[in-house]
Amino acid sequence: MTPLDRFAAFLATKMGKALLFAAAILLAALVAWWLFASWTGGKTAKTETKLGAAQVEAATDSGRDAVGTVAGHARTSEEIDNLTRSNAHDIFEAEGAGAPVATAVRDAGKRSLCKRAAYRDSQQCLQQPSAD
Amino acid sequence: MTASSACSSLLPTEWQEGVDGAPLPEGDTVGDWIAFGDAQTGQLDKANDRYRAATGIVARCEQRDRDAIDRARPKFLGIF
Repeated sequence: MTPLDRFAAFLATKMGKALLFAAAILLAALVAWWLFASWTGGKTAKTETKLGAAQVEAATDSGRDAVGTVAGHARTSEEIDNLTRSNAHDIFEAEGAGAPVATAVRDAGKRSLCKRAAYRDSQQCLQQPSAD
Repeated sequence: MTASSACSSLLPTEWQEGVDGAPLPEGDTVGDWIAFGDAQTGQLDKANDRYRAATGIVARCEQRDRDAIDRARPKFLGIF
């Protein structure tokens, strides 16, 4: 009896059949796992590629939006400065514009402004005489 | 998955300095002080416009990032 004959005889036994069945189940499980891993791995890579492309597109759109919005703000600021100049002209042309402001109220006004963060370090405030 | 871009980096760095106040009145006339008040209001308008611009840039950028993630998210049966 050759080893192959002995093996065939073993497989014919209950124990051999059970082992063969278990091996077949194990093999089927391994094949199923491999197929599943390949499928989900491919899907993840596809999703990552899609996400990367979508994020690049979003970043490009946001950059373009920011440039446009900042430019719009610059235009608005220019219009505001133009209006300030035009208003100043009208104010100085108005009757009474040249009337002097009383020294006490002027000084109080400047001292008040110099307490503000916007002016605290300005040259005029640093030279401001203290209130007596 | 999270958004990769920092939307706040889109804002100009000089905007962090804020908007300057109007120059303090040089003269001592009523006109000088009234013109100063008007100029200061103009600076307030600039600051408000800058605030709206900045929040708009960041909000729209964040929305785009969220949309990008939503579009890339795998859908069940390609629908849900």
